[in-house]
Amino acid sequence: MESHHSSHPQIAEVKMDIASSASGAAGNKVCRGAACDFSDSSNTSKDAKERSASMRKLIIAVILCIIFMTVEVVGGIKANSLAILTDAAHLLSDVAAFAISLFSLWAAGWEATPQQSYGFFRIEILGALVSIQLIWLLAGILVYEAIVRLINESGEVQGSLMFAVSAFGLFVNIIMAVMLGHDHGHGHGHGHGHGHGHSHDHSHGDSNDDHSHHEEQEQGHVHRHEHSHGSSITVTTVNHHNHPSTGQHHDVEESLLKHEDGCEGTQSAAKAAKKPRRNINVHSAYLHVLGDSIQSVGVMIGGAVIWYKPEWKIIDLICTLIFSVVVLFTTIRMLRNILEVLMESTPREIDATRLERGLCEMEGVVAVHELHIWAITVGKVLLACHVTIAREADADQILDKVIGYIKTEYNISHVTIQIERE
Amino acid sequence: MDTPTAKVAWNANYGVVSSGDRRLAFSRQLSSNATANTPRLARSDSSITMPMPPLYQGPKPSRKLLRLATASRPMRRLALLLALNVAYSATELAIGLFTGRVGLVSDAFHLTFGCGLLTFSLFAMAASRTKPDNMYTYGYKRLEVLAAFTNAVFLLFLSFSLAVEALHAFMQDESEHKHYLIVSAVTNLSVNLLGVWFFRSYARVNIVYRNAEDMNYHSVCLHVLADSIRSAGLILASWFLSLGIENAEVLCLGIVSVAVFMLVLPLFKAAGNILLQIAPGNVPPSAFAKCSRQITACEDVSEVWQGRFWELVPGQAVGSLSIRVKSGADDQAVLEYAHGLYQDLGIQDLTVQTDES
Repeated sequence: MESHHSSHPQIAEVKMDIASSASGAAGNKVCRGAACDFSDSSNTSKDAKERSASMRKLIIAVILCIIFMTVEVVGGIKANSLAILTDAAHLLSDVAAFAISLFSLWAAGWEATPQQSYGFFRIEILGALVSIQLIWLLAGILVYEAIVRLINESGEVQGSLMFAVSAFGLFVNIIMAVMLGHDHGHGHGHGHGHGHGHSHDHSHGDSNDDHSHHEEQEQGHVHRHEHSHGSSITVTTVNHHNHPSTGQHHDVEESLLKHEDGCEGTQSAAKAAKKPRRNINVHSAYLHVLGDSIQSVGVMIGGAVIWYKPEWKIIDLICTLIFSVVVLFTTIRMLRNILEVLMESTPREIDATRLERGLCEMEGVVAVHELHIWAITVGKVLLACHVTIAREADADQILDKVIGYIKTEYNISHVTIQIERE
Repeated sequence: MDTPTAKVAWNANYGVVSSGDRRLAFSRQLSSNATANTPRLARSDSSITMPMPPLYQGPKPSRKLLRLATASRPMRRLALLLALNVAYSATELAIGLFTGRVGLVSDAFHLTFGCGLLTFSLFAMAASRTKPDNMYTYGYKRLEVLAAFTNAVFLLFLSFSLAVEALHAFMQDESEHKHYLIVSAVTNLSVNLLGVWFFRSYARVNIVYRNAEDMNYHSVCLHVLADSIRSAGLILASWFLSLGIENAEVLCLGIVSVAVFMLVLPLFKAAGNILLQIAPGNVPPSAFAKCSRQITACEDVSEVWQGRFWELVPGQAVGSLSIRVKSGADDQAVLEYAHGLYQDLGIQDLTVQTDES
């Protein structure tokens, strides 16, 4: 039995490994199943719960949108006004964005196949990318419409109608933004940030397992735990001082979309209570709705200006341009996240140089090269590297130490290490 | 990675050569930097004859991403195309604003979106030659695939918008055709046909992608092709209208929309698949199973699992594998054997984890 203190003073880590007489399934390096912790049962049930909660939100939003859109279409046809029909078309684009998000959410839950060995989690990222491209496209279309309004000197534009229609659109968008952005601080499985950094390998045969025990405590208890497969005793890593460190299992909650240092538990404890935790697809739908409401505000201002002083039409165009730029700025952060994931870059919350230095400092390790850390989606990180060890060292023990270090320090669960002797 | 130690003679561009398993051989085109003038026809090449010219390593790493001085020929052509497009759309926008013609302004907006896309493709071509650094450990080649995907997505948007326009024309039933649009359509068509000529080797719907630039060039070619189809459709529609055919605009726009959609779909799927981490396309799935069986058949190995393979860019595959080795066996030998097997398939970046049972 070995126990050691890691760098956090409150953490006491106890690890006990019964001798691996159990056939083959020794140590915590083993992941059963084709896609390991990307689709093992506890993760899928948690993911599925969170996914279905997000889907429920989006479906409600879509239904509301369709209702409002039909109202606008009917009103527009009756009043024979192009402005109202144009606004209905914008709502249709909202529906399209929600449809993309819904599809991505649903498709991300597909089982991994031999062709897609990592599962379909990337579909979320691609869906969010398409959604953001749609936002950019719509911003361009709105600028175009403002220019058309400017050119049509024949005065077909009625400021009052424009104002009224865009006010209605704003009202609709605000309702949906509130509904999509509302993070639930209660209950199971709601408002989880998508992609927790799960650091546990699920043990199927473990009778001590009660993973269904979710608990979300707003005071910010954050626990990281890992337990070994099969015959070992579970390990609890306690990060918060007022939690009893018995064999209770609590799940990790980290708000991964918004906080930049996913491995520091205490900081995430503070942030978890404050930052909204959103699935990336729900977040992109929320951005879409937010962008629409910002632009509605711009159109309202333009409509009011045209209503009062029709000769100041240029202000309408300037307003639209400014607000379109604002909308584009709101999408930049998410776009940056998406691009970094798609380029297989090292996730921002993980410091690769520190990791490499930490590995090199281990005894027996001579060098580390070909280190690749990349994310399959915003929360799930993988690592692969080649470690050169001294000739006499025990490869298995070093492998264990390295994998343990990476899992506890950096919360990366899927690790492949190639041990080479010099 | 470093050159493979030849257990079986292996060539980076032809796969297995000489006495190896010829079924695992393939032909890879060098990037256009190395072979400036002659297009390499894979079939007439033979691995027996000449030694391959040294692969162009790319320009020395420098801080600037653009490095226009050492631009390759497709990059220069794309830059020229982009300049033409920007100039053309700017003049069209100016004329449209001053004379108050809405049609010109909408056309100018279409072109501006196209220019933005082409700029991104050009940027991807330039930036993808940057060496891998700490943040982007796999390098910047994925940018080309991303640019191809973005192009494909916007082309799909274009086809949808053309369908919407056709619907609009159908409902409004306005058959007045705007003469000034014909001039702009003809100019647009000629500029885009020039672009198609520049990238004529990629003017096909289904292409086997050998390296990252292939996808990018293909997407640029499809972009200019789709634009020229659209202009041709507009010209045709106005000609039919002048002939007195009813609903000509609806018909032409509808046909153009369907054509662009069918044109773009294979590229969209291919680029999307690479971004989704699909298994390497040029290797049949049975080859993976065969390799895994061969490793398991080794007497030192008890189990092979978690073989995951994906393509970084077309032509460069990465993988990871876990092997359980019997205790006391020489894991370095198993490691080298596994690496050799997968290098036959063309997977260079492989990380193999050997556990002792």
